[in-house]
Amino acid sequence: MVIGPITRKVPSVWPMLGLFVLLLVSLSYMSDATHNSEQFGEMYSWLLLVNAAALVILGTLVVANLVWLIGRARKKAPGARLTTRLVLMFVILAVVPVSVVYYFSLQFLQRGIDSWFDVRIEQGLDDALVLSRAALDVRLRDVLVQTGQMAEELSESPYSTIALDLYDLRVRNGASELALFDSDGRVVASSSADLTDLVPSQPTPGMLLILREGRHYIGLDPVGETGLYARALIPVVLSRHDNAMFTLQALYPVSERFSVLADGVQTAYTRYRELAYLRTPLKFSYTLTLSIVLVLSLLAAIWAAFHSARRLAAPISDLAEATHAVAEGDYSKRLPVASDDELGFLVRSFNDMTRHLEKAREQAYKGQQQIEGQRAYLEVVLAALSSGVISLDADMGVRAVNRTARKSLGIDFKGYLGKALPAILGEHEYLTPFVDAILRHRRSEEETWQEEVSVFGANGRQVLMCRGAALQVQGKARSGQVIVFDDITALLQAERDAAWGEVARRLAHEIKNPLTPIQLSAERLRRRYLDNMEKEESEFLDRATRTIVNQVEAMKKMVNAFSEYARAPNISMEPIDLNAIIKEVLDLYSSNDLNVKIIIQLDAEPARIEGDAGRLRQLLHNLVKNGLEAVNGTAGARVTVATRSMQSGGMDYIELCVSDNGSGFSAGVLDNVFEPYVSTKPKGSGLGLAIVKKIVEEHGGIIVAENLQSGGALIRIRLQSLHEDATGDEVLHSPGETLSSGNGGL
Amino acid sequence: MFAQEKIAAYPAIPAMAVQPHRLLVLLLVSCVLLCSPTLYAAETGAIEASNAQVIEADPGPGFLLDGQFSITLSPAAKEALENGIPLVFESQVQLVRAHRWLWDAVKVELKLTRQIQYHAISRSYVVKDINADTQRNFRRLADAMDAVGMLEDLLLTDGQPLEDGADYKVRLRGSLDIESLPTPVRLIAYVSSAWDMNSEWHVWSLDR
Repeated sequence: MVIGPITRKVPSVWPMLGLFVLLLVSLSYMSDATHNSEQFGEMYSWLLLVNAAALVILGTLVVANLVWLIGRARKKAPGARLTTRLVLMFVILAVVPVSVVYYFSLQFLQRGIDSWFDVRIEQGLDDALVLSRAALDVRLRDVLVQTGQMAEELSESPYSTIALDLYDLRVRNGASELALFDSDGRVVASSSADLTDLVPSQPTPGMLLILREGRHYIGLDPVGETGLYARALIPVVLSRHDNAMFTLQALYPVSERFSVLADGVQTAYTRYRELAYLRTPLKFSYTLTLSIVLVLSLLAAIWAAFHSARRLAAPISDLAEATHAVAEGDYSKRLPVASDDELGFLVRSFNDMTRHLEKAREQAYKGQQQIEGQRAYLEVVLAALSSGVISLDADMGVRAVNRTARKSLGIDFKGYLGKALPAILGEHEYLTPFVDAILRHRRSEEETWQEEVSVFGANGRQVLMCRGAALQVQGKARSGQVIVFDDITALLQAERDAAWGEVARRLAHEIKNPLTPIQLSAERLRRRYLDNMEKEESEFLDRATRTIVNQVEAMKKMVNAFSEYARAPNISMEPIDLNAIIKEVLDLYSSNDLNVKIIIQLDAEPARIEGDAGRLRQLLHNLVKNGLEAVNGTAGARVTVATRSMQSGGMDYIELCVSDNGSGFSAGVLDNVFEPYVSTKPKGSGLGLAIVKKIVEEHGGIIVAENLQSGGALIRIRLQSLHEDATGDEVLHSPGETLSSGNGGL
Repeated sequence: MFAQEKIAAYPAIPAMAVQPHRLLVLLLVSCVLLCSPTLYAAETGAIEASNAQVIEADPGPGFLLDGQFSITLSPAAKEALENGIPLVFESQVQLVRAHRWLWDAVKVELKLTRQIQYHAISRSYVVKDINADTQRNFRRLADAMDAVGMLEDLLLTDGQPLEDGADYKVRLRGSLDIESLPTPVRLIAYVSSAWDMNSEWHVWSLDR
């Protein structure tokens, strides 16, 4: 038997753990990125994307698992309900605490962010900004005044020394840059403290617009990392240069202390404003991150729940499935032992159990095979036995019948197996003596018994030698029996025939031989003394010798007839028409002067048989003569000879019936009418019917003598008929299958 | 005035292909934001190339481009700017050789990145040219935005003279760089039309 272990693909834990770790890393990065840190800020979009992808993958996995579970639950697959319960339990265990944490985290988050902002701080920062501006405004006003003075000085300067005057003014006033622009905004002259900066800072169009409106410009310029500068723009009219309009731009550095403080205020203020502005988006992005973390955790937990539930339920499902298989008789299932825990122990025990069961079943099967073998062997032996064997159980039920028994009794026991033996009497009444003998011996509770039983059935008279033995079955009060019987009819017949043959030979030898000398002696006596004797004495001698001679003659005849009967037949079989022979023989009797009417009722079809024409003629002569003698002196005497073809037990026969309306057989002789020297006639050798029977047996037929109800005797002879097969050859069924009066026999 | 960053690339790399994840993130965040319409619905801003001209450089080879993007900030962007959030704008200029049957080949590509930020103490807007690392200050926002969108004397050349008989095109476009926004704002900017400030390609053929 092929052992089929159940293999179940249980997904490994490692990929799952790996994925979770990756997820955690990604989430922590994302949380960092949410803080707007420089390191992860750039990655934020990617992280969001990765986590979204993870979300989709996990969601798909969960949905796939859910679909799988629903499918199994619908199919009522083993373990589906358990898996569902476990999944539900795990999911509830995961969802409830995570949801609680989520809720409170959200609360803390909202309040935490809100707590960053304070009206007082905001006010303080605003004030700081205003203060800074006010402080710087003072400086700006100074710068404007200073620049105005410079512009006045410059207006007197000749155009050719402008550049030098600018340098002089710059150094004197501590400006970092001075530049003069013409009305088109082009640089006329400039001077800068920074020698590398050759191009002066350009005023913006807005500043120029202010100037064009006739106002002065003063403002603060944050310049890169170097801090704040005050920029002043004042129109200059160069009186010595056709009163042309120019613009003087002066850049003064704000003192470092101021600059640093202002920068601090600026940075803090900007940061605070930025934060305040970002409050809502920040809350949103934190909430988003937290929600993604929550959803990912939940999905991961649900997936883990599915995974764990499947892992947990798998051996149980396997067990359920395998138990179902065992219940249906399949012991070949072996389960994989996945763990060392109690479940593993259970699986191991189950495997041991199925192994033992399988072994036990195999042994039982082997035992059964052995018993079957023995039974078959017994049947073969019984079938080969030439004796009939019938075994009966305690209630006379037929248990077993061998082939010989079926053949001998002429019963196919198919319908009677298991039924009580007397049931066969319904259709086979002639077996009554046989059944009676068995019942009788059973009642007497003998261990073994033996009895000769005669039955008269389809096979004619059968003598069965029955031997019975009680079958004691352990632990049962009543016992069955086995009956072994032999059909010894043929044996008895053969014995009888042999005995008669011996008698005939003895008679011929012992009696016939002395008869001739007796006859000769009597004739010599007669010849010698008859003439010489007195008339009275000679008459006596004459009578005596005549008697001797006559009786010796009669004895000779008798002995000849007898030896004729005992003589071994020398027959030659050939296909013949029995009807033709009957007609031929009966023609001889047509002219009989007796007052006996011979009625011939022959079958219309030729009665084809295989036989010896001479022997059959003798048979007919004997029968007709017998009939004629039987009806001698009867009024309206008649002898009927009839043939008909008939079928019985699948065999074709020619039945020849010779009947008369005489007195019939007396009850005493009917049983032995075919034995030699059994005769109802005052005269007769007593061998007529014995010879008839001998001839019938030589032809493989059966003969039955019976009395007609209307009075008279009937001799019924059945001979197997020839019938033509397809090739035109005449085929004779093997004799003895159903027709022989006995077959085999021990 | 502004330094030029010159990138010679062949074949063209579409600007959108540089950040493919944007679309996906956009999808995701839009899903999340469906329930927050206040963040979503807003007045839109715009960037348009208002005028541009190309003249042959002297000495050659190459062309000089002058142009101006007119940038209208959406209220949301303006609010962010006034609250100290720096905004970064990118201008992209390409000299393209046009093919009739093939993809156009980008011969020269320039990218100009400018940042604008409000300076509270000086009450001015500081416009920084990231490429050249220079800055200017403006009292008025309009002036500042003009400075951000100004293209002046951009030299378009890969050092090779143009092929005779070939068709050349110049195209430019500008956009607000969402990726440089602070992370919390970025999430909203992905989905909000108020932050969607991208001009179409402004294309014209080169007449020689």
